[in-house]
Amino acid sequence: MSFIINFENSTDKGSFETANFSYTDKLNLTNEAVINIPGSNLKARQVVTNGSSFEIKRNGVIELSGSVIGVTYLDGGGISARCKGFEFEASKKRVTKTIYQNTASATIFTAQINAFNSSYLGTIETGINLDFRIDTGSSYSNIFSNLRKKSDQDLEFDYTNKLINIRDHKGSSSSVLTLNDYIDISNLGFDSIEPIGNVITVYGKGDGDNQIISESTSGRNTSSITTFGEIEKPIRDPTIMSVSEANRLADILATKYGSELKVYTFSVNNPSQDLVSGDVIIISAPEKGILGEEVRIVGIKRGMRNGNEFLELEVTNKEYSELLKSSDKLIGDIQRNALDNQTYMQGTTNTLTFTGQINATSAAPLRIVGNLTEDFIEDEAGNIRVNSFTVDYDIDPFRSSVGTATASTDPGLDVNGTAGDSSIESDQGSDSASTTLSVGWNNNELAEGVSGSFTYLDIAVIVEAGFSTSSDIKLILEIDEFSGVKKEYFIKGGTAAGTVLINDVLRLPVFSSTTSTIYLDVYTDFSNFYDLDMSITGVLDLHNHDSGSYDTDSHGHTVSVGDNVSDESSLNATGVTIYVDFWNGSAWINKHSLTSSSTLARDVDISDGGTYPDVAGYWRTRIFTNNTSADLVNGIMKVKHSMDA
Amino acid sequence: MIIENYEFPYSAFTIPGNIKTFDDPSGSNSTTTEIGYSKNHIHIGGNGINPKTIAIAGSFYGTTKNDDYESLSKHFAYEDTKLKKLYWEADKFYLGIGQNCKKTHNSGRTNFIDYAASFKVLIGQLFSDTQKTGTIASPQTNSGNITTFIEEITGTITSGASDLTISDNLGNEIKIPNANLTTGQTFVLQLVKMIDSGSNIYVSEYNYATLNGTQTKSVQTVSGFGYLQLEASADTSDITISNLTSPQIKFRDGYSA
Repeated sequence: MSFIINFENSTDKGSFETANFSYTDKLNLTNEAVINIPGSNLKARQVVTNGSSFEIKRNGVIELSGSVIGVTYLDGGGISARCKGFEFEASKKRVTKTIYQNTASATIFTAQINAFNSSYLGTIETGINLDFRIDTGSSYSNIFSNLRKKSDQDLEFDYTNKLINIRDHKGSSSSVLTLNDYIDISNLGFDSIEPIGNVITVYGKGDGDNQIISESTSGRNTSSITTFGEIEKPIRDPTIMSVSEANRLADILATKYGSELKVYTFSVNNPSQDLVSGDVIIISAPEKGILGEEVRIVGIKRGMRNGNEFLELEVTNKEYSELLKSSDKLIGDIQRNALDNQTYMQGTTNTLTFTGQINATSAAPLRIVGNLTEDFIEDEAGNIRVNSFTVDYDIDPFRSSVGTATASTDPGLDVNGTAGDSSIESDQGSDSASTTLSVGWNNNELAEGVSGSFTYLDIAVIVEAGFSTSSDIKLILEIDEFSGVKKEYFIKGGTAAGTVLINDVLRLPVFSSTTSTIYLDVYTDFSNFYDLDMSITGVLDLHNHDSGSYDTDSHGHTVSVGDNVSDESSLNATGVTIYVDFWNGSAWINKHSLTSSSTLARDVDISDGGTYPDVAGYWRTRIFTNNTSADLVNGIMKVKHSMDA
Repeated sequence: MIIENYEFPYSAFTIPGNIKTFDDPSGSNSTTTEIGYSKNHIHIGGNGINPKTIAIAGSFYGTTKNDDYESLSKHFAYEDTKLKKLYWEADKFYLGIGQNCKKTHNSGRTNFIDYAASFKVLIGQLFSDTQKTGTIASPQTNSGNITTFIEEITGTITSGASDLTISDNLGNEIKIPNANLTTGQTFVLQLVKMIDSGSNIYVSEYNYATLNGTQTKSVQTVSGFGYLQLEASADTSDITISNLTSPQIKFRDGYSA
C-alpha cells in the first residue's frame, strides 16, 4: 500500500515519508492520527506545527485530513505530530440556544452544520421528527452526537471534500467480506458481556417529581428480558424536553443495549483491505465459538510500524455498534455530562396561591381570581408547565363579620384592580353658609343633593365662630329626617373669631336614592354669626354589618380555613359545586365544573385531568354551596408550575 | 536445483553445478509450558512447522557465470511478488518466496562467482512435482508421508439456493452462503495466491475463491482452521462437497523435509 502524508501551514507545505504512523476511522467519533517523522529535518519543523493542516492518503485517496493539535520534539530532531480530523473543530465552537419542536432531524442537522461551518454541509438523510433542545453550554460536536443518537443515524466525515454527512447507516449494511481466523486475521480477542440494559429509563429535563421521565411501557427489550431477566439501565439526558422524546430514546437504547455485547479485536493479515467504519463483515473462528457472525466495524486503526503496514479492527455485534471507550474517552464523557447537567435548566417548581373568603350560597359563590402569566406557567418553548391545578376549600357556618357574596350574575373582570376593593368613595358635593344662628334649632342650614347606592354617607362638617366670647357654647348637629345621625358638642369659653368649633364627620348608613337632599340642622345656645361648611362623600363597602342592622360592635375580620369562630351554630350546606372559568378578554368562559359532597377538602383537582390551565391569563374558581342559606366559604386556588429561564 | 514460478509463466532456472551448502532446518511450531519443579510439562502442538528459511551457497563459472547469477538473483531477490517453487529433489519442491541473494568476491577466484541465497518457505513441507486431480468417483491418493493440502477445487454451482460446503476428514470445513451464489457459476478455490492489493504490492491470500473468475470474499471457516487437507494414504473420497457439480480436487503428495 502506498501512503502519502502531507502537511501545510501558512508558510510552507511538504510531503513526508515515515515508517511509523497510525490513524483511525472510528464510527461516530472524532478521528486522530499520530505521525512520527524521524531525523533532524528543518523543513519538517517549519511545516509541522500546531494548527498545520495535514492529510494522509492511501493509494491516492485522502483517508484522513484535519489539523495538528500537538507536536512533540524528540532526540535526533525527530517529531511526533498528534493530529485530529477536521470534525474536531466542532468541539471547539459553542452553539446558539435554540429550541426545536416536532422538527425534522434533517432540518436541525442542516441548520446546525450551517451555523458551525456551511462549507461542511454534506448529504443529510431524512431521519425523524422530534423535539430537540440546544443550550449555549454545548459544543457543535455535542449537538451532532446527541442528535444522531436520537435520530438513530450515523455521522460520516468525508475527508476528501471536507463534508459532514448524516447517514441512516454509515458503511455497508450488508457484509462486504468474510474474515476467517488463522487465514485472514490473527490475534483475535473476543469478549462476550451480558447486556448493558434491557429496561431503559430515560431521565430528561427537570428534577424530582416533575422531571421528564420515560414511561414504563417504553424502553423494554422483551426478548432480552426473557433471556437474561430484567436489567435496568437509567439514562440521564437533560436535553430531553418531553415524555414522547424520552420514550423514543428509551426504545432505541433498549434495542442497542438489550443484546449481549460482543466485542472482537484482531489484526487483519492483509492490511490492504478497503474497509470503512460502519461496514458489516462476517467473522468466523470456530475455535472460539464464532461461526459466521455478522458484526459491524466500529473502529479501524491502520498505518505503519517499523516499516510494516498494519490494519487492526474493533468490531461489535450490529445492535451495539459503538466503540468501547478508552479511559480518556470515559473521562471526557463524564465531564460532558456534568457540563450538560449544569447548563441545561433543571426546572424547580413554584406554587401560586390565590385566596378568598366570603359568605356564599347556591346562587352567589366565592370567586377566586388569579392571573397565571406566561412568565410563571410557560417554559421557554411556550409549553404550559403546570404540574397541578387544585383548590382547597372549607365551608364554615355563616359569619357576619365577613362579607356576603354578590349575586350569581358574573361581575366583569376589571384588570385595573378596582374589583373587589373593600370601599369605593364617591364625592357627592358640598355646601356652605355664613349665617347668624338663633338660639335653638336652625333647620336646613345647609343642603346638598345626593344620588346613588352607598353603604354609608360620610358628611364632613366644619363650624367656625364668627365672634369672640368667654361663654361656654353648646352646639348640636343633626341630619334632617335621620334623627339617629346627631352629635352634641360643648365648647368651653374663650372662643375667638375664626376658631373652628366643630370639624367632624357624621355617618349616615345605607343610603340609596336616585336623588335626595341631605339637610343639616344646627342647634346652638349662643346666638351669633357662624360659618358653616358641609361636604358629603358616598362610600360603597363590602362589609355589611349584620343582616339587618346598621349598628355594629367592633369586630375583627381575620379568619383561617377550618376556624370554628362563627355566628351560626351549624352549616347549611352539605356540599359544593366548583366551576373553573377563563377570561377571554371580554367574558368569563366556563371550562370545567365538578361537584363534591364534602364541606372540607384539600387539593381538589380542578384541572380536568391535566387539561387546564391550557393557556396563560386570568383563571377563576367559583365555589357555590348547595344551600340557599349562606355559609362562610374559604378557598385557596393553587397552581404548581415548573420554573424556567 | 531448480527454481521456478509457481504460476505460469514458470521461467524455470536450473542452478548449474552442485550446491556447495544447503541449510534446511525444520522446527515444530508448538508450545511447551514448564511446570515448575516437575518432571512433566505441558505441550501444545498442531503439526505446525516454524517458518523455514532455506539457505544455499555455491559458485557459477564459465562463460555463463554472469547470466547464471542474474537468473538466480532475479528469482531470489527481485520477484518477491511471485510464489516460487524451489526444487529440493527433482520431483519435490518447497513453495515460498525468494528472500535474498548475494555474490561474494574472493581474490584469486576471478573465474568464479560465489553466491549465497535464501528462500523463505511459506508452507513447511515438500510438495510433489506431480499435481494429482481426483474426483469423488475417481479418487486419487496422497502417496506422500505426511498430510498434504488440497491445492485447488473446481466445479460449477449446482443451485444458488443452497450453501456450498466443503469438508475433509480432519475436522476442517468451509462454506460459501447461498446468498453469494448463483446457479451455474464457475467456482475455483485455490490454496494460496499472491494478490495485488494495489500499487503493485502483493499479499498472499489463502483460500482464494472465485465465482465466474471474480474473487469472492464470502468463504467462511465452519470448523477447524479452514484449510482442506488430505492425510497420507488417504484419497479424495475423504473430501465431502455439496452443491458443486463435477467437482475436481487437485493436490500434490506431501512429504516431510
